[in-house]
Amino acid sequence: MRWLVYLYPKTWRKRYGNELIDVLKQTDTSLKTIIDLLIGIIDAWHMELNERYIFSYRISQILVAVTIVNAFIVLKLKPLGEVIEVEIFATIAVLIAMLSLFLAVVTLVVSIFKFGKEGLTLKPKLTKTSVGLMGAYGVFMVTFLVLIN
Amino acid sequence: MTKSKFSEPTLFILISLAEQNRHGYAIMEDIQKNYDVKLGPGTLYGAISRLEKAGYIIAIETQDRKKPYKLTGEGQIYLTEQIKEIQKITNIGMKRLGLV
Repeated sequence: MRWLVYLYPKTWRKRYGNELIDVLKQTDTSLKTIIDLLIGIIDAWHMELNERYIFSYRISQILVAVTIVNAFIVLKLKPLGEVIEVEIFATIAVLIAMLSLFLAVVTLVVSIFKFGKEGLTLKPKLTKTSVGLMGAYGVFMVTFLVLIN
Repeated sequence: MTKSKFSEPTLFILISLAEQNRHGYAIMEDIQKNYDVKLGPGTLYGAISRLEKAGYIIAIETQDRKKPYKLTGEGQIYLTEQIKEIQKITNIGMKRLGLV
């Protein structure tokens, strides 16, 4: 059961890891304890992510990577023009993906302007929305790539 | 820190520390003995980390791996407010049930 402690965020583990291991040594191993630990892990990650700064350089790296992927896809689209015409779902997927990305960037920029440094954390709803939209972008882009292949 | 962020386990922990400084497992044992509630280690340390972050408890530095926790002045004020509120709710409930 000790291995579950390694699923906690690093900063949390550094502070409470040894103590938690000591307590676990004195606690009976049961399904209830495992579930309790799993809930604790989710809770700790939730707290950690709410406080952690998403460093702007990381975001810029992600945006550069996303732009390269988009450029690659657009280049691929030209020869696949006929396929795209047929594959209406692929077209819809890529449009939703691009729209999601655009909205994600807009909401993130608005969040940074509105909340300053805090806009780079997951605390403001706007940043959360932005991350959600980035997730939607990822999902629809993967769907698109699967469909065109 | 708003009240809604704290739950029953956090109150149990604060009450336990109001009596004396205790480390994690000792808090668990005290809660089980007094309220017949078995706190899981995940719940216990989740609550401890929240309370420490809020400044209501602090860990006492020792050579030992087991760090006892201590209730701070701020924690004492918070606990007093909470107890008073619970007391108020209990009184209303008792009156309405005709128990007093």
